[in-house]
Amino acid sequence: MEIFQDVVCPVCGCLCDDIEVSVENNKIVKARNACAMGTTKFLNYNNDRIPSPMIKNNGVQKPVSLEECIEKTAEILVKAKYPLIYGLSLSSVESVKVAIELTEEVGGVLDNQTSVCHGPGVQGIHDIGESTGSLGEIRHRADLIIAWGANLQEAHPRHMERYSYTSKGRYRNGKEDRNLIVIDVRETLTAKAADKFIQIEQGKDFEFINALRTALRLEQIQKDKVAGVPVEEIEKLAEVLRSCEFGVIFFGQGVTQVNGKGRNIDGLFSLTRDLNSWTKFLIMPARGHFNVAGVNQVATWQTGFPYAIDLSRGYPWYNPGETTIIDIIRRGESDATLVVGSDPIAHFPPAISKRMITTPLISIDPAHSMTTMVSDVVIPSSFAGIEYEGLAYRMDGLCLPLKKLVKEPDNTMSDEKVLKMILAKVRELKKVN
Amino acid sequence: MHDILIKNGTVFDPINNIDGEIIDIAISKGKIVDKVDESNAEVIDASNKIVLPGGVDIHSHIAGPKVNMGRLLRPEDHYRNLKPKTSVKRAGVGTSCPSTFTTGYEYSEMGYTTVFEPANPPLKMLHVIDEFNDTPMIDKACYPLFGSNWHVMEYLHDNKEDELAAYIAWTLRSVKGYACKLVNPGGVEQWKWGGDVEGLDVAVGNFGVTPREIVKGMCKAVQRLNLPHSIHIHANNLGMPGNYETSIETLDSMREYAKENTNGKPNPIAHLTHVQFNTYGGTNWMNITSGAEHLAKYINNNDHVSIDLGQVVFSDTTTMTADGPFEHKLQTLTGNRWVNADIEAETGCGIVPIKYKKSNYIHAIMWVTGLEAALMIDDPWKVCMTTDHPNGGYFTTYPRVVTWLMSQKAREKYMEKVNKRAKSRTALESLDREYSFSDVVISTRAGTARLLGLNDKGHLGVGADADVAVYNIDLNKIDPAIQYWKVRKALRRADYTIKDGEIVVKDGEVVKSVPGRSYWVDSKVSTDLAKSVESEIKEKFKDYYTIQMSNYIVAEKNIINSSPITVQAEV
Amino acid sequence: MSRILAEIILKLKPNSPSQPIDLREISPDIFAGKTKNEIGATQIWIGNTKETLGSIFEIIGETAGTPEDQIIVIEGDLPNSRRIGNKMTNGKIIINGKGGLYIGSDMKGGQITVNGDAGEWVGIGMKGGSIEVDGNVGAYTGSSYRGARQGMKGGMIVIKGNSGCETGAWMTGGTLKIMGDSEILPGVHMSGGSILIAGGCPSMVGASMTGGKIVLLGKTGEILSGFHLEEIKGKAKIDGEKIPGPFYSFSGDIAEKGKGKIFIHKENNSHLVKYEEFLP
Repeated sequence: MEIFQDVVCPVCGCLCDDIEVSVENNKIVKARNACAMGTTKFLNYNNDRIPSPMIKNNGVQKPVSLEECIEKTAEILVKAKYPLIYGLSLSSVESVKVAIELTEEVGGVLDNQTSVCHGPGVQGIHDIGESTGSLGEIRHRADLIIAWGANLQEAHPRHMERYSYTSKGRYRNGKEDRNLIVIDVRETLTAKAADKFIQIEQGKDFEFINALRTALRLEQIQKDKVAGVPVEEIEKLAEVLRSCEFGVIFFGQGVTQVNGKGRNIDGLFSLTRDLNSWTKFLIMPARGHFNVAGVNQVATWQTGFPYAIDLSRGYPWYNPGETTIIDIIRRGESDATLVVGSDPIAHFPPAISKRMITTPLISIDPAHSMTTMVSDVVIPSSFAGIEYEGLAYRMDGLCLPLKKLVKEPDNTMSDEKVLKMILAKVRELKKVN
Repeated sequence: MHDILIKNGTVFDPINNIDGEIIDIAISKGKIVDKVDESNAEVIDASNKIVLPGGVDIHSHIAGPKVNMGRLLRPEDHYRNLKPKTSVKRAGVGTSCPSTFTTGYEYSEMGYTTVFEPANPPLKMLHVIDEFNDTPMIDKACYPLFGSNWHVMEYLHDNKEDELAAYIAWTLRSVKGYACKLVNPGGVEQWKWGGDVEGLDVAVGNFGVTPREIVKGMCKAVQRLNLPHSIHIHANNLGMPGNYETSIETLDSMREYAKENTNGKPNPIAHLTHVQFNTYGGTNWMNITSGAEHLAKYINNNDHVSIDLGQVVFSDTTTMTADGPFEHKLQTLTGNRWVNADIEAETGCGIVPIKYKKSNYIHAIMWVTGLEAALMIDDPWKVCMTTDHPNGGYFTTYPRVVTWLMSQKAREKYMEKVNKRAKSRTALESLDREYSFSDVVISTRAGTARLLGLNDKGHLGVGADADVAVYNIDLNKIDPAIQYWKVRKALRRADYTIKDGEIVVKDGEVVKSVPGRSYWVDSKVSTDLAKSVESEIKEKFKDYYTIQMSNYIVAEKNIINSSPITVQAEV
Repeated sequence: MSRILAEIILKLKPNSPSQPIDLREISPDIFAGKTKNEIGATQIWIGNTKETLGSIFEIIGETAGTPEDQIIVIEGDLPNSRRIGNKMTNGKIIINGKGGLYIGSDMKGGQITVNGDAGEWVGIGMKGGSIEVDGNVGAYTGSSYRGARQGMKGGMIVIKGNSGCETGAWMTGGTLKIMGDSEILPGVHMSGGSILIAGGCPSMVGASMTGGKIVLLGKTGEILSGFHLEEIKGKAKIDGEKIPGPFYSFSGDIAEKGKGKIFIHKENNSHLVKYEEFLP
């Protein structure tokens, strides 16, 4: 039996790095310290593996050699005039680097789950900026924690004990020294655990933020209620925000993917900035996938842009709404898609998924999904942080090294290696042309 | 790799006392050698051209989480400069916060071969190193931040000098840092509660040490560790009217650690960075003025200090610094966008875009101050030309700044539309000193390499790294003081840049991509001390950080061309 | 002295590509003084490939000597095009069909008419001139590049149909008229200029505005808290034209310490009568 210490968990944006993993005969048998999500992944990741590389022939996926898949993928990408490469939130940073290089080589667009997730947060940064910090700062100092449209207890189970509400820091001794306020449209588990739960009407976050900012300026709100919340409560909340010693807002899909989107986060960033006139206040996105932040980081330093990067004209270009995958497919502009470690067919709007399968679709994934089931080419890959090592970024932008714990199944390899093979083949084909 | 012979060039190599002589430079296997077989070498005809050591930049924000946030903040800045890929170059963007590939290419195309990144949290060095991996063409290193570090402040409070030195050595080795950086010492910790430093001798809350104690303690520790570069300081009170006094006081605190000169050149034990931002006179925003005269007087009379300029160039650029409280102030003053990132137990950063305007009195004072400092400090070995990229201006404006140093005429022309009140209240217009080529080479290559302890860089003597730049400046025809625009144009695009003995730039365009090295320093302290301090760090780690200590350490396998410099500590 | 206008017609050939077509080369400033052959040979990006204008357009007609005298007519649907009329300073472009993204980007002068729908970012960064769309448009009409915080600065945009969200985002000057409905957040972060919405808008009118004015003739939902009712005005002025009300005149967005004005049609928004108790 081999025991690995200080393992970085490859599930959510918490990137807990204190997992102790026990491996026996190349099988993970225990994952100490991991939460329910981490434990589930460590113990069950090997189910539903794609058994073989496949190419669709007359509508039926047939097992073929890896080389054939690589060749076919490269052909599709070289032929395409506006190919899309999408996914990578579950891949290592090294894999993302190859994906960027590949996108540059084939003149396509690289997009990522950010596009349908925390993209609005990124747009808020472009227009306002962001007062933020590392998670340790919260643990040490925060006496007011707000979870806005984020269900930390269920989406980031160890967040509270490691970084926020119940954690012990230099200046705060756990929840007795802190206040947790949840702002959400329904009473989540996090709301149940909070000191205060403010229920707001679905899709009215912007209005609520606007009211809160108005109250913060001690100006009258000419209404009785906003987003279903009485104005007196909003004014009380403004007072709580202003009078804390160190506050933080964690925000999630509840506020990024509803009516208002980018401007909701613009509003939250502006609110946080304003609060710094009176007290110390930070804001942080509760990122979902364990390396979605990593994709943004490496894409930004290599191309200048965090996602939705259009390299079709040889230089990086970026504009969500133009260069984002859903909008490109909506306008019917793409002519091939390579998906890495993601299931867009299941998660995108049905009209988009329907269109996606009308052009060649390649999928690189360890396990079956709706996307792999309808793909023209399927390449089985291995799991980052379990079967291959590499770097990843925590939700607060901290880089941690993923470990290799077990040997991957024989006909699979890391996203990094698969993409490198595709890139090499693409270059070979382009020389011939 | 074939040999290279650069023939008939006008060579400037101040470290080897060559001041514009026509000498052949021979290169073999990545090094300058005595001679090569001309028939077996690539011959570069450098007739009527100047040959310099490759540029060595001592302070430029090019990599790490702060720079990356700057990139993320400013897509509109990228749209100004979209760089398509070529057969040799990767695609890229950027003006004030260029993407990594573009950063490397543009520096190299200007004849620079070494650029050091001056400020990052130790906790984030894995990120910094990975950006270095993607910054080609130049050798790199980073100065991790120590000035608001919990371990540092605790050791200082407990007067544990040896342990402090060992902690620094452990940190530099673990995270692969090169030197020790202080930014607003103590102030960034104060900022985490929304405050700032209140005086050099007012204790930082909760830690009971003063900024002066941090400066002195760290300066002394760095000396005892024999690090190749002295303590690198961004003083308290940055950006405030009258702050030249803080700068001088800060420098004077370290005078007791002064070292002897060698070969007539000073050996500073402290480097005050981007002095322009820390050398104002006046008492408020209406009467703020240049305090350069006072700083220059101090530096002319004291050999224990070196500086770099942080020169302002009127442009739309981005301020980014670990000085969190300062950036918040700037946000309040300008209403511009603002990024802030506090980093647990160590430091923080802030970013605010800024448009420096000639018509603006304060910006004009800033512009004047930097140049006055450069022109009033006598010894070029103490003065490094920088813009604190991108804080004062982007690095691609260096050639312009150089012409301001070399030509009063160039200054006058640029000054035409500069705020009149600023001009009338300062001395710049009357200063007629003009830097010689040798002075410029010292300020941008020889002096910087020497201050960084890079013995094989900044010169063209036998044994030096073959990092060379050839520029199309015919000194028979061009007087830099008069035809300054020709000098600017030539310096902007090197005729040839040679990196480690390979031609990487021709005619101002990258022709070959090379990865460059990442330097870091391993200072060997005594084994027992190292062990006991490491176990102390381990004990505190769980309480201070949110990660495991083993994951804090940057493994060498993550570094392309890891180049450690080993020194023996005195502790 | 009369001017001699020249009209050049670009007829989209059948089976035109579906990939993005970068048409920033279609501008009177660029066409003036060129021969038809030169125009046909002009290189454009279609997806990741460099093609020519002549490969997708049949080119008929004349070029003028100066941009001022140049009329460009485009026949065909180009919803996947980008930047028709980019940076133009003079002359006229008429699109008989769908217009695509970034119509008239960074325009300084001249006139663009789209006889069809157009996509997002019509008139992005516009400084002068006029754009008229006889159809619906997407989001971000007359707005800013991300991070630039500077939208339409001058000129006139008239949309005969409906517009998407964030119409006039970061607007600093000029006039924007939407004759149909607008989606949410019109005038977000606006600091100057005027927006007229003849139809309705679900909510968030004038979000984060600091200056400028918005006139809404149709129905809206709730007004943001950052707006205080100042008075009831009989008329509102847009581009010198007096529009009969009466209007609820709100001032805001207080969240931004803003002093912009939004004029909401009183009769079409009877649910807003509750504000009248707050009239000073």
